[in-house]
Amino acid sequence: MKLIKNLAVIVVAFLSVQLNAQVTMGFEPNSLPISNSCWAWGSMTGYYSASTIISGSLSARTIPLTSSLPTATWIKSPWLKPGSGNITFKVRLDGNSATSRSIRLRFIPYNALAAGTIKEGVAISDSFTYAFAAPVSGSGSNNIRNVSFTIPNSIANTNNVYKVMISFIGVGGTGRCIVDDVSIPGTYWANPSNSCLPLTLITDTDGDGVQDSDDAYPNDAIRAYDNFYPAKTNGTLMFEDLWPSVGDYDFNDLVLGYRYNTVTNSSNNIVEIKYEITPKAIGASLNNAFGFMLDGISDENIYSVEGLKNEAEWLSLNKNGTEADQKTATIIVFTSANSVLQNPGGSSGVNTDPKGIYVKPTTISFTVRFRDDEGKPVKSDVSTKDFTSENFNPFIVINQVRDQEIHLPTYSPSTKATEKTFGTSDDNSKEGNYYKSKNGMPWALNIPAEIPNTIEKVDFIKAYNYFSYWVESVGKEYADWYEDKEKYRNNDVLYIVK
Amino acid sequence: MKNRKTITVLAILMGIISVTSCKKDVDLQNPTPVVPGSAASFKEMKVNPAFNWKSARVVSLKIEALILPIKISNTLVVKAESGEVIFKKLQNMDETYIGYLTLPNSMNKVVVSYGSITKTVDIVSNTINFNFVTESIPVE
Repeated sequence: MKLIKNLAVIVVAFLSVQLNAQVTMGFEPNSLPISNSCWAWGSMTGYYSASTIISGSLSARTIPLTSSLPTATWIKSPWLKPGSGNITFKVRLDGNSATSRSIRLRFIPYNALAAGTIKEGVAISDSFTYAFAAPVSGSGSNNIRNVSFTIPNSIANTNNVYKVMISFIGVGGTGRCIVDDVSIPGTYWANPSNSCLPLTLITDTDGDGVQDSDDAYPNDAIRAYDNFYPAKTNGTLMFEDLWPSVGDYDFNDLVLGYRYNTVTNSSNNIVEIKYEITPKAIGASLNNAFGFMLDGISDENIYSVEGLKNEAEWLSLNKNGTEADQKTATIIVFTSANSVLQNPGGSSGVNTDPKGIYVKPTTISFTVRFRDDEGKPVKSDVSTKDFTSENFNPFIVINQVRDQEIHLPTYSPSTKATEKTFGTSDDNSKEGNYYKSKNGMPWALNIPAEIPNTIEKVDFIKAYNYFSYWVESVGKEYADWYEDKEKYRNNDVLYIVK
Repeated sequence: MKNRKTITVLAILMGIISVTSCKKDVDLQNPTPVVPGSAASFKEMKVNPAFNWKSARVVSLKIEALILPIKISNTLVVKAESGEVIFKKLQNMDETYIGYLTLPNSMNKVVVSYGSITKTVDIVSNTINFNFVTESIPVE
């Protein structure tokens, strides 16, 4: 099967390039820089003088030709497999002083063992020379000349890979050469995404189009890439739970670490999202639940939620594991914070009192699948183009009362949240701008990094010295307020695990 | 009378100077806090009603196609400058792509790689613009 898949790759490549039986370079703006398509040149430039260019809007022009070395001024083709026929191009001189001018053509074989990165072997001796007939200077020298070299039988159609090198030789004077419309019979065989080396067979064991070295799931055709958010470490969610009233703003009533991996296939569609949620601290007396919505995603797009086992009087699930009777896909991660992070006694909270007993958090791991075991979407494809962390809408359910939710500021409540509480006490929620107080304060924060929570009853801005600068500058200053940089934190009021 | 008034004014001035001098000495002994002028508590912060409290934002990723004599497909990788992988996808060189990523607000550059092609790209107007062009061309 593996051999068939690898052969399939060769056949597809072969068929696609047979249609391109000539490898050409016209030096037009849409083909520049020439290195994009793995052409190269030395001591040459693009040239647009209307009176002397050969065709189109640009030609290539040499520097003044004063060297007889073929390595001084040249053009090289990309790696190609020469066919049979003639290599052709057009040239003219620019009319300046010159004693003699000529062109040499050589074939350079590919040598995988050659030193360096370009893997050029020793050029086959240059027996192909075009000498400009007189005059080679003055106004009579700048006629357009058609040059043609026949590809020798020893090179044509051998399936070996070569570069064609065209060198411009000059003796005497400062006259230059202008060249255009290079055409080489053969098959383009270079990979611009692999340092312009020759095309090679990729090893793609599962045949999904992603080579094994890039494929996070090389034996699984349904899955290809891992995309973690946050990229580096866990993020941190912090809640105040007295909504709609404001609390003490220590933001440690419930503290969670989170990270998720969006697994995609070779078409950039989401196969599944693997979540890790870590309850880290409880500074509240209320027993809250935690879940999240996938904004913009219907629960009909979810194949299954695997790895969670939750029961509560107020919880009703669909067959696929999402919460029932919701317009948006909603997953309840745990129904009781007190159960997933148990108080060991001795203090009112968990991991908020430095004198209390530290409780090592347990990570809750689960997977939300968008495709079935054959890789087919349940309803329709969900692409990463349509799905970012903005879709991640986490919330707590306050003290086991299902219709009481607290979300991040501006995020919408779920279908099960009652609207009766909005606008009461300190809440100033409005359509599109939920969960802010009358002074614009939030009840939850989402930080794209792992940060320690405050100890009990400590105002959050006492712990993070530049947080207020960030807020009051409307986010323009100290966007990195949460990082562990010098003088950014007051560790005396942070719960630091040692 | 005039002289007495002058002396009084001068005395007051000297008093002010001496008091401020003392205060300066006290300031040197008790330097100004690291974060002067911020609100004393969370509640006292002055919050713009439009502030969204987000420490990360969505940026668009735009890949410009490059037409080649052959179809090339490879993995496109977006990384932070510190090396963490942010995003990966299979990308054909001859296809344009527009997608979206979430980045910390403090991140202003990313490194985009496509096989052997690697570029550090500034994020401008919440957009990452990437093309496969590797050098500028000299044209006379």
